[in-house]
Amino acid sequence: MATLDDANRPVLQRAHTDMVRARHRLVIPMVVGTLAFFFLQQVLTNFTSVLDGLVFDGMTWAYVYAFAQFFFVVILTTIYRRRMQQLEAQFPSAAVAGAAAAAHYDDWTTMETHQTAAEGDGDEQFEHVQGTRLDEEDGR
Amino acid sequence: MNTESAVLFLALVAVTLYITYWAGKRNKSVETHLVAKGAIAGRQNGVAIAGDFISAATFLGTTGAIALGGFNGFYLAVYIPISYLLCLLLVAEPLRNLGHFTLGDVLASRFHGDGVRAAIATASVVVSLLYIVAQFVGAALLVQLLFGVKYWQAAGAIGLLTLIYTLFGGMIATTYIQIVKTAILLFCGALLLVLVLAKFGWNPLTIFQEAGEATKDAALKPVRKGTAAQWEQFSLIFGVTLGVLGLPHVMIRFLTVRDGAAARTSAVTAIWIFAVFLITLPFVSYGAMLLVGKEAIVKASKGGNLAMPQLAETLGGDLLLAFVSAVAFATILAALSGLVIATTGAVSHDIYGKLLRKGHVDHTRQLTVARATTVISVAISMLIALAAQKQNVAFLATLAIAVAASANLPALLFTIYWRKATAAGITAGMVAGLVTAVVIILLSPTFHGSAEGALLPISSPGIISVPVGFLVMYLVSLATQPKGEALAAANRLFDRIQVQAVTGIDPAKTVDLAGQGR
Repeated sequence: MATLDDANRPVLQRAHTDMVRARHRLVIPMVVGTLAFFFLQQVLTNFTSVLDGLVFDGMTWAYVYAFAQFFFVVILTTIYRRRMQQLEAQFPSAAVAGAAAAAHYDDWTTMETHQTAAEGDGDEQFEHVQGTRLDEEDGR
Repeated sequence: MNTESAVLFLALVAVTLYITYWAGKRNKSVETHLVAKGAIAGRQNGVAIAGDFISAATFLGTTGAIALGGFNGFYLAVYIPISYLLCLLLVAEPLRNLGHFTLGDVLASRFHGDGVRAAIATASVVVSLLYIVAQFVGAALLVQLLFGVKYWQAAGAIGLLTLIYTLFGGMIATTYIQIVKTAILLFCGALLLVLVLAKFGWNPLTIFQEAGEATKDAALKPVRKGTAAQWEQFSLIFGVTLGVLGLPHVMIRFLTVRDGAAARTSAVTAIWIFAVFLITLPFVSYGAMLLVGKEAIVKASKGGNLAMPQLAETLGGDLLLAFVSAVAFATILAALSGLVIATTGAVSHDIYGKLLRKGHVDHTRQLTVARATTVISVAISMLIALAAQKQNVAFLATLAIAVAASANLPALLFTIYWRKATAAGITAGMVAGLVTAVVIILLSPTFHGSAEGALLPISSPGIISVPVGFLVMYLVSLATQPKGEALAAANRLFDRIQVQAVTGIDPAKTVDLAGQGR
């Protein structure tokens, strides 16, 4: 694993920050839309009779709305999965680093111990990261 | 128990014990015991997650509720995919990227003191134990009905098998038993659907039309039974929808995979299974109502819990009844095993490893504590279940999910997403959410057994306790904002957490990306 030189570090930090922002921009409207769509049905069926009527013989609007939620969930799930794949392709550094970090630790307790030890000085490193290698840090 | 039931039951137990034996040979470390060392594939984990939530309550309880109560029973199915979509969007990947063994790890990644970890560990143990006891009693009563055995025999068999799975097989056995059970359950559901459709000319709408004709459309419309009942229904669904995101036994499943992408795959897989399976429940349930009859369903079980076994008997005789009963039994065991593992993790990792031993604990010792916790939690649950056979324990499950929604969920969301959250705010909000949920339950008709004598008209505290948890967390966090260098340090840490939650790496300890990501 090669080392990270100081010139790349600000670029990397910006890529990470951009990915965080992009994910938030994707997730927030989806969460708001999901809550609104779901709880609107709860309000309409619990407190009003607007969904009581029949669409056709054997099918009420309440059931149409309820079934629609299943399709809504599957469609949003698909959109989210695809958009996240695109984001990871757009910011490959973040995804690769994540995989590298996860793969590096065979023993999670070792990782945790390592992270606990690093917690004290980690905040400073975020802004002034020293050139380190994960495998060297872990003594391997 | 007839011959068919005995054979299928023994075959299923044999399969689960073989899985436990196979997993036991790999279950040699605390990482494996609690989170399968992150080695579960995303899709496999998704199937296990789906299995966790398509429990006996869903397979038997929701179908019975639709068969007897019509559309209102379907509320108990519709919220599940919605909950998991919220889970996918808000917590699945951050949870995997920030946590290792428990929910406590996620919070401790930002708040390093003992207070926050103690609060989430306590809430996790409380939620899981309440859930275990409620499931245990319900399961024993159900097995008693399904197999015609005595209550203590049912409780004993459930306790013994759960203990064997979790003690020897740990999370690996729990996961693979859940996967096998889910596969069989989905097959069982598909088989019942096909047999019901065959009775109605292969047209799903015919089932709805006949259900409408039989009940003058009452079964197809929402039922509103007065203001208190309507708010009760709303509060229940509000609480359970959000509560899923704070249930330790559900959330720790996202820690059994390799990385955030696998956690995402897990949630997506589970959502697809929920969507495909749960959307069929009204058809099968109305099939039961029409083919078995409401009176026969109520006669067998007041709440309609035996509607599916009765439908199976009507459609496929003793063999299908035996199959459905065996599947229900496997469902109960798999769900209980997951709950026991969640309790074990909170006690052995958070309370023992982190709070009592301050992280200075060797693996062998921690594994011993984990296994001891497994034995103790199963033993306590079984003893309470034996003592509570004739007690009303329905409030325990309601309380468990209310605490998850009111304490755990605000803590997780504020930790991951809100810059101004403080340790004091998180702790105070969790305590406030937990206490509010407990007080409301104690004053509710569920705890008192009837509306008379209860000080509050509703039994589901979610609509009050969830906002209280969030509000107290918000206000106390604002009131305890750090200043000066402490504020700058808190902001830097939050920036790190945000990046780690999304990418899986701590930017302060990053690796070289120059040659890898291009």
